[in-house]
Amino acid sequence: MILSESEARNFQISILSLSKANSLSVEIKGGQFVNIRLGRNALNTNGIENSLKITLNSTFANRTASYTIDQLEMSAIERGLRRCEKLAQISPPDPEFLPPLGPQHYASSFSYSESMGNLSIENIVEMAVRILDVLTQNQSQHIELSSFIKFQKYFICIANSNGLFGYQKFANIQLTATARTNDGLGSGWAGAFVFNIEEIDPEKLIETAIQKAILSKEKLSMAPGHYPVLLEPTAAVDLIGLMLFSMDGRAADEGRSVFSKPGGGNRIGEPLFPSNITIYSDPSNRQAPGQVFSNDGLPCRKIPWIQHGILSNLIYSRYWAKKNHKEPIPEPSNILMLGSDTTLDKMIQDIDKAILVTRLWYIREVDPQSLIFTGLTRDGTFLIEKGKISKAVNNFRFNQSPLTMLQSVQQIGRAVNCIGSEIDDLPALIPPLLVKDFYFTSTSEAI
Amino acid sequence: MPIVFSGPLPDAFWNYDQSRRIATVVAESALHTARVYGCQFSDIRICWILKERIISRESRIEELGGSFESGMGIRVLFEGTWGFASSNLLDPNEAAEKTKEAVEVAKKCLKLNPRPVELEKLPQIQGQWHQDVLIDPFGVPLEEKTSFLLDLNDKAIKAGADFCRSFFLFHKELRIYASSIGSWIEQTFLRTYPKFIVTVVDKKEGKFESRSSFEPPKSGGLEIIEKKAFEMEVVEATHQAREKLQAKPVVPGIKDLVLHPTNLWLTIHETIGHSTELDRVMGLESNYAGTSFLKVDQLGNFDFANPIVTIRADRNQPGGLASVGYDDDGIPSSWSDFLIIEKGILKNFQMAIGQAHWIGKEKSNGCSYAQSYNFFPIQRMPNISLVPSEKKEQLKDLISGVEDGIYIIGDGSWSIDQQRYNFQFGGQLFYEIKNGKIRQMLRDVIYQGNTQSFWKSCDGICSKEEYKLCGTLFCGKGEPSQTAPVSHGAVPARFRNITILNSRLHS
Repeated sequence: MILSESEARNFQISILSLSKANSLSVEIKGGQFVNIRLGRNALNTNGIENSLKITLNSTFANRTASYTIDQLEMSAIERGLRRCEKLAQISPPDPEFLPPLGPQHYASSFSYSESMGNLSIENIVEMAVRILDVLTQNQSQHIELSSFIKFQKYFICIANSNGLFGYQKFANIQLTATARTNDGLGSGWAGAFVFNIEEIDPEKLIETAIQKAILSKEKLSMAPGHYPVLLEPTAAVDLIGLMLFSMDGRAADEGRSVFSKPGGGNRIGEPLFPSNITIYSDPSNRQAPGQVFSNDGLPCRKIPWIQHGILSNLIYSRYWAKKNHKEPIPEPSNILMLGSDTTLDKMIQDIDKAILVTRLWYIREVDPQSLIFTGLTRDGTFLIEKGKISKAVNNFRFNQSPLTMLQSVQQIGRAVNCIGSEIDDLPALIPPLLVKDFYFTSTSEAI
Repeated sequence: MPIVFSGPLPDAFWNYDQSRRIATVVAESALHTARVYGCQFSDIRICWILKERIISRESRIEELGGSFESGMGIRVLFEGTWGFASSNLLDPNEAAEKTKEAVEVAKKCLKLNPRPVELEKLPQIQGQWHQDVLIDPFGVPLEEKTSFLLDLNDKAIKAGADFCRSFFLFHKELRIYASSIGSWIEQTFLRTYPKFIVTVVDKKEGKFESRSSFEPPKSGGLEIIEKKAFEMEVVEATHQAREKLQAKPVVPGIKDLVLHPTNLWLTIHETIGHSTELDRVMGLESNYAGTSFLKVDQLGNFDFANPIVTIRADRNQPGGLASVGYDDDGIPSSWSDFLIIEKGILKNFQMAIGQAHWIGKEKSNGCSYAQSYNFFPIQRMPNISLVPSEKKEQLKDLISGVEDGIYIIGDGSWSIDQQRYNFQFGGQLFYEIKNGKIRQMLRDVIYQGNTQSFWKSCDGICSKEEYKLCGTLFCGKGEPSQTAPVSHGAVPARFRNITILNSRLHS
């Protein structure tokens, strides 16, 4: 269920008026979520979800608790609120308690457009039909295609008894597709996450996945080791995103992060990367818009995390920022990396020898001390030789820190919208990265 | 069975009779509407879900949150094509509306579906199943739960930890299932997850180490926690984390492994659990979770593991997170008791309804689950466990047979490729084994392998005295991604000639 800003404001006023606590903060999130899943060239599952969730956060002095309900009747909300207040009253005092924020100014965002918001289930089915049409046109290639289309239209509204109010609407589409050759020898992937309907081209995505599948049928066996690697944006975003979410200022200050400084303190201000690395968040970005407020009401603004190679900021909660006389900085609501004008194709032309990685998979932290992650390549791993993709290669397992990866970036391409396998719900604009030294620890037979 | 907390107290939100009355009118409306619209089959899951999470660090409760959610999910089969719609409003008119929406989705998707779904004959069930609970955590006074966590943190700090985070997660649910063939099933579930993580820091050297608790989430109430043992473990864990700071980094190489059940469960989950899911084998998960190295024609003849290895699926182990009376297709749990691997040979795949005919079988084996009312039910794991050796065999016997190896306790980092060949796992504690004896603690150990060769290398399995059930609440699969609770039982087992890496040297 989507509420307009005025409906949401009135609803919030009604809920806030029920509070018996010293303060009440309310988040309402609701929307319609439509999905179609294709498997082996046919429908697998589908779904339409209509939902609305209300999260209440009550405070008595420095005691606080939260409670989430999904009922709309005021009587049910009041029961939930009384439950929340009861929990808050008996919760232990919070030594780190800060009162809810007062009114804030939030940036504007391009997270919703009428053209995207007006899409219907028919439009989503039509997109699936177009996908299967591409498959029909490529019948001779003997492809098995799986695909997922997720259309989300929703709003988030926050308010509290100190006068804070924020409202934002979102409408976006994610489309991902995996093409596999019938003989099981080749696999290719393509995907997109867009807020503007004009920016999605299902036919092109499916063609890309199919071409990669066909290209990857005959593989050269390569041994594990250190290689120059060209990471497509969808591969790069996972490692960059996982690094960003490890950038907690408190953990760094407490000595339990890769961003801790030996002897105490953190590494803000240190040139950890080459000067061509700039990574930031900006919810006002048009192509990959983020949420303009955090769950606790902090404005999400443009934040440079790494600027010209220097670690510029870490995530700081309100409490930890106050204690350390800093500005609070919420988690990123989008990930943007400064790129160049060079396209992926042009980068390939300029490469003498490197491995091209379409995407990564099952990435997990191995060592928090050095922020090493493991994972695998998947659905399109190729050898580039003398400016061309010369052949497919086997998949690899990597054990790699995003820090050492970014430290050995040689060339940066044009930033594009992308969707990762781990960072799959955060809007991102990431360029392809040519990394001089990427470490593959073993090979994988998986296709 | 130790009783740790007092309770239970009545919960104001939990009114079974009222929920049943609501479910009756909602289900009647949905199933009637589906019938009117000419659906071949329809079913509905109506859920009431109560959750509580208490997260603490050191002397502070960081988060105290609860939730109460309810809603319905309607699945219809129209001319061989599925349609699904859900709503959080439990009302007969809304049920009719959502059913129409599900039918409309199915109709629109007809053109996407050249392969009509073939459902086998499904059993008509009138049943109830209720999780055995001794101490309902929702009835226990909050102060007892917060005090328990804060005391735990305090014990860790006093023992020398720099940080200690601990939490409780509780999930209680009434799920009512009804279908167009006349099934009506009422089930209640309660799952409890206690955990702590202690961290020690050497600020001067800029190093830190952590150790997590071994106690897994389980079905049941607070009786699953042995308070005294948990308190002792947090102190021991602090000392072990401190010891890890000074431990010898592992030298990479080929070594034998002895894996404790707290480590082996996750390896079973990733290598055997997921590779034997029939929807993956058929390619239906290829866009997300992946496929499998197994093929349909390997059923009954694939040499998966050493003949001493037998893997059993079930839905009735006490405490098992996938232990239920009926799956989300309305199939009784008695159908879910089967062998996946028998004496090393692949014997069966996991199936939801509509899948059995793919491999020439007549019926599914009750392996369907939906995370909540708003998710389409898909094929998910029952409990999947390593069958203990019938011959009396103890951990010390396994270790005595190792010249150069490592004993691993607890789960750590985990990753496996999309066809379940190449895996890499870490752990919590690592001990060097030399000439049949456990020696010093090691650190930074990860092991890599290939599923089939790993299980073929298994040459020692302990007997049932050392059996332990572990598991996760958060196994991910499907699009949209769904989490599922699942347990895996194991005894210590030995594996020969496994590739060992040092996690910090390999970057």
